[in-house]
Amino acid sequence: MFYHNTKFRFALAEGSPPLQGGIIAASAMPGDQLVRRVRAGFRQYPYLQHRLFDPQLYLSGLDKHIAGKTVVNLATQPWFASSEVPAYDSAEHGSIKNYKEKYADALLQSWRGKPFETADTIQTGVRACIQYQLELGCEGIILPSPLTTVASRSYEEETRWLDIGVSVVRELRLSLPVYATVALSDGVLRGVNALKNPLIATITDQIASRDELAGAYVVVEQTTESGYACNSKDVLLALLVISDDLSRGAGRRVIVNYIGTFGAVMSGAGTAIWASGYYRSQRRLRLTDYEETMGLAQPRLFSLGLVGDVGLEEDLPVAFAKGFGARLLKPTSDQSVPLLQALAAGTYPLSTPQWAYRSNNLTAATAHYLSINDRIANSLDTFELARRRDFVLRWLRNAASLAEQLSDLKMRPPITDSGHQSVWLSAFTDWVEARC
Amino acid sequence: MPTNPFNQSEIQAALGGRFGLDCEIGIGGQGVVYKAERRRTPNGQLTQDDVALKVHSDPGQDERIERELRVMEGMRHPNLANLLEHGVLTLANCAYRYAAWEFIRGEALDRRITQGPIPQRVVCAIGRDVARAIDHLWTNERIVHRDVNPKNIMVRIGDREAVLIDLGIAKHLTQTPITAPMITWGTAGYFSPEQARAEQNLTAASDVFSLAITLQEALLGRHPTGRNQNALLGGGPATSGLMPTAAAALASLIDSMYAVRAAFRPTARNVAEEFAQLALIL
Repeated sequence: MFYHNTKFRFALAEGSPPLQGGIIAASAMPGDQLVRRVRAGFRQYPYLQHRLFDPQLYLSGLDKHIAGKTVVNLATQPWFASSEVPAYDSAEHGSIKNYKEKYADALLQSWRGKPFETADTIQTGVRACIQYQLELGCEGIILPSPLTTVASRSYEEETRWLDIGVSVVRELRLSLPVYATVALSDGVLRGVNALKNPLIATITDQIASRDELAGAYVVVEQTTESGYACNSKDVLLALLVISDDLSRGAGRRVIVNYIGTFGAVMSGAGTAIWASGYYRSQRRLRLTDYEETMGLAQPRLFSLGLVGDVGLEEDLPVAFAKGFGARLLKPTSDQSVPLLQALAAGTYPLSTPQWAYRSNNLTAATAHYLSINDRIANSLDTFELARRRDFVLRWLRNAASLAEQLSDLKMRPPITDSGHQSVWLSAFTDWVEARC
Repeated sequence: MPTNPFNQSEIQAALGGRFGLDCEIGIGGQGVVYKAERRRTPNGQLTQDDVALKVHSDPGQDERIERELRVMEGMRHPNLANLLEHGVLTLANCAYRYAAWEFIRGEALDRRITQGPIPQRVVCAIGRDVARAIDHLWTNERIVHRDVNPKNIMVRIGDREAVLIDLGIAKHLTQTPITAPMITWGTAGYFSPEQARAEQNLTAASDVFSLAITLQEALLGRHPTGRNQNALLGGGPATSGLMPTAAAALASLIDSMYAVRAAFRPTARNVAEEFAQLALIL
């Protein structure tokens, strides 16, 4: 299933398909504001009837001096900090902007820059986090976990958070599915063959051995990734191994976020839900992204055949002229049909202003991205696992071959994603050969 | 062979005559176990309990023993030996830890195995009971036994029930490890691959692996790999290959328990449920 990595973007771009669900991030807005929006009703966002909430405890190391905006939102949540700041009340505080301005200093002051450490504070935080998700009406509970940055600590601190979460779940007698957050820095994955990485085996063992858990919510912080698509074979293989261990091995559900269309690849290894969105910050988790001001985005065309985006300004017309149009543009969406026609007629971009290469001209590109990813997810969901695996393997082989052919045309990375396909294929092939 | 460093009558005297020691029933690196009768509780109440009285002989293990005893103090489960009391006794100016455990009328599984293969139905009952004990330790206390093997399983007379004993090296997740990194504890020939690698953060899945090897040994009447731990690094040998007459469902359940990757093993609870069903039909 494909979910929208909603973060704070509740409204989908015009023309987007009816998605299956969404994942809202703790950093989206102050906690009370989100509750009020949910209470006011999410009728205008039907996909959010199936919603999950990511507590994002893995962001607890953000530097308040350079990621102040995000920290102010996160610090309103009691699993990050305990402050005396009152809950937002529009009657008392006026706009949320006024509220943030008034209390920003106090919230920043309360920011610890690291997760809670004592059993009491962890328990208070975890309990509040679970109750908050119940209040939001989430379809499942995601237990918070700190970011794993040191492999040699044997996952003991994360296990501590997990067990406190499990004890609260037992006490509250929850009937909703409960997921453990697995938040890994790519530093603990790079340079180690994931098939033999003891940390991965420990993590999946810890989750599989707790009957209270329905599965895991998995995110990888890509410290060193500069593009839209993850390019580290170790990281990708680790994700496949985690997915396989937990789904085929332990019969649990895996939800993955912030890894773009590799989530669809992971569904070939049993992942049940993958979330993404058009923007880079929805496809990739990198702490420094929260510390930088993003520039304006330019539209790119997502190509299922390439499992990546193609630059519109020069790359796509060149590739089309060389006969790659069908392989890049099919399957089409409602948004991309006019683009294909315009390219064929030689009238692009004049006849299709919605695809013109212009800052923030993103509506068509976003709706197209969501349509195609939703469609591939729905198709894969109809296959049983072995067929899904075969499909993914063929898909990645074709994508790697297409990327290689396009490289002769001197596509311009990072405007066109042309480097990761062979890495994705290699990771998937290694996993299939070792485990299937 | 370790020798008994203690004098039986001195122990009786050191315990104020509250225990009548019958005979020595076990001796090992950690201490000596006597069959005894407890006549009075520590607070003076009259009683008549048959106990296994263990006197620990190695003061270097005090922290480990204390940990085991504290964990077991409040625990009651039909497939775990119940702890009745524990304390310190003084012999020749030296302090020794002692613990009085429920006396289990029966025999240790390792002795039983020396008499030959055990019937499949009984193996299923043992698997069910020990898996229940493993599940109880893990689910309620996050304890990993780490030494599940035939020596640490008592089978009550009449094959009624199996009891997991000796949590001397159990690992409690909320406690800091006593074991140094890269050093593992347990019994070679029963280690899970992750235990053999001296992983610190084990789960009940490791005990499930050890139980699988133990049950294969019970079915065969001998250890499946001659206690060769290296032969277990890639998982255990297929049960159907070792014992072609084993029921397919039993062989398949045991084989699933020694998967190399812990996440692929069934949970102790599932194992207990499946053995319970098999015990009824085999």
